[in-house]
Amino acid sequence: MSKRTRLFVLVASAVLLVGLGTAGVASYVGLDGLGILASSASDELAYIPAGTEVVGFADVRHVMDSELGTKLQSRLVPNTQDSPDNVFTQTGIDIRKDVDSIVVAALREGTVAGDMPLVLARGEFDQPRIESLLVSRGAEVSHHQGIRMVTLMQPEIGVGFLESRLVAVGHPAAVRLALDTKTAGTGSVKDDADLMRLVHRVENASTWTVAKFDALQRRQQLPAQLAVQLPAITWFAASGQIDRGVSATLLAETRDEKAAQDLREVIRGLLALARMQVGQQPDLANFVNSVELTGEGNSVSVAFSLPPETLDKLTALGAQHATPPSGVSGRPLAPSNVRPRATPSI
Amino acid sequence: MTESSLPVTMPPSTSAPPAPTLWSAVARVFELSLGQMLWSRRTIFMAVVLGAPVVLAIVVRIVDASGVTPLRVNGERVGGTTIFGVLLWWLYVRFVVPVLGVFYGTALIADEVEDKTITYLFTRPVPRRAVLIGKYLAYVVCTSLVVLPSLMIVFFLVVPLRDIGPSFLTLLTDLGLLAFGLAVYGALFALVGTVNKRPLVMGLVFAFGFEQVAMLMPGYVRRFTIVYYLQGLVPHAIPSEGITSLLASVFSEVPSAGTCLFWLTFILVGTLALAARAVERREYVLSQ
Repeated sequence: MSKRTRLFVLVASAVLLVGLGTAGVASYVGLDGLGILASSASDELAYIPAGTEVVGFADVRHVMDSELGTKLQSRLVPNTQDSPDNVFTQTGIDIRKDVDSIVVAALREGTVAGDMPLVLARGEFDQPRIESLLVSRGAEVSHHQGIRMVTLMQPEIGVGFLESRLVAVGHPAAVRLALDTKTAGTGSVKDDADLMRLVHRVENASTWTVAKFDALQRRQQLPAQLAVQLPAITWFAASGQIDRGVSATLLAETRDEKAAQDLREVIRGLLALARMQVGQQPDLANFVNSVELTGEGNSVSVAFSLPPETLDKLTALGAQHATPPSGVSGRPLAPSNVRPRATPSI
Repeated sequence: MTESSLPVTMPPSTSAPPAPTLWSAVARVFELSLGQMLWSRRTIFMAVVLGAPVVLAIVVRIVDASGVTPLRVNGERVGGTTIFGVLLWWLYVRFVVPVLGVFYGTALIADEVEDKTITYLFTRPVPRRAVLIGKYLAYVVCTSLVVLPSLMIVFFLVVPLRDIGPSFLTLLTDLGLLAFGLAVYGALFALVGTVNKRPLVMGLVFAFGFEQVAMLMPGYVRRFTIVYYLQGLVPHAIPSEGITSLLASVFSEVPSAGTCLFWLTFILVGTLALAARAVERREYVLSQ
């Protein structure tokens, strides 16, 4: 075999092996394990105890720096920051400046008292400032698993400085549980194969959420009528890549293939209805046409893109709905969902 | 002087080297043929054929990155994984694999006959079938080493990052499917090239005439094609939505994977055995 033949065989084999190796490792550990993705929630997930029903992640830095994020900052962030009950307001953390990424977890019901989620924020935090702010509001400083914790009694909030750039905020018992989980090295959501399977499917996006569907129903995150109509969904995941616009994917896993087929039919019907409704509005029609429905086995996936123009249109529509139009006399018009009485047929 | 008294000078004893075994002869022919195939004029043709999907994938990637939907069917956006499935089926399985099978498979013996070099091969002390098997193995390795990396590059260009992990098993199946397809088409066309005077025409008529028509015809005719059995092994070329209607008519009847594997293996072994038998028995008359 000549030298160039040997060289060709080696190069072709190397391309194959590198490709297979990359895809294989991506399949086994996810792309964050390969360091291909700039940010990931992998380290934070080690703090979240197994059995957690909802996990969400946001690459705050990416979102804030994006064109859309810059546009929306002025509208959305002040509302949350100004709320006195907000954990960030309580702890003096400025989400726009201090935070790189956030992981939010809703622990299994009954694990800790209250509904407050556990928030793990990664970024630059002024620990002495945060501590002094909390202490001035009556908080107490303690240690758990060798980690400094500040606990506020009213409302009951714990802040744990887990790592140099990682802070846990939530119910004090939840923060302690997070520390125990990390110290034990086992029993985190990383050991939950079902949840992690979906996490691996969505983790490349700048924001994502994975949830047990029954937890969403129990926590009344879905309209009751919709929840009853939907086929037997077991897991739900959503991811969104935010840049100039939004590219989002919704994933659902159902109890069996039949349920997935039914769900696909439901979505297909809704899409057909939506197409009829938005036929005269090109921006919305483009959005509806961008919806991609796919699925295999017991999973159903819906992907869509919202370009900046469509987002502007939707925002404008939202603003119209938010401000109730008034009639000439100044009285509010009849709600649009009240149908006029049917005209008797002749 | 009697004959017996004459001094007799005997030539030095030269015992002929032992004839190589079948498989060592196959290995030698394989080594020789692999280099010849890789650096022949056909390689340019192969590079063009396999460069097209890669260029297409680059275009899809650039268009997608610029925020424009690369492909829509009936107004619905077609995702990267689906585009990869379509490229795999329509470009690789339906075009690249048969065309390489025809051009390389038919040439295994026919080229030697045409170039009048087959005499030199057949006068070597090796079984004739070793020549065919060695050349066939060289064809399988040569085409696989070009086709499979090309598919790998297309995969990484077209499939979104988030879908690479979940698509690993289907990618493995795709690669295996293409290698198997190349092997089966190659074996069939090796037989055609061994027994027919115009194998290239026959091969093209079969791959791009008969198979295309048979796949569109109702009934049992499609069972006499290779592509019918290959389609049963394609894991994801049939998208769940969107362009289903486009492909549904073609894929209305898909045999099980076990059936496909059985018949493809049967065709491969059967045609290769027949080709080896034909090479052993046939007397090639070289025209002046």
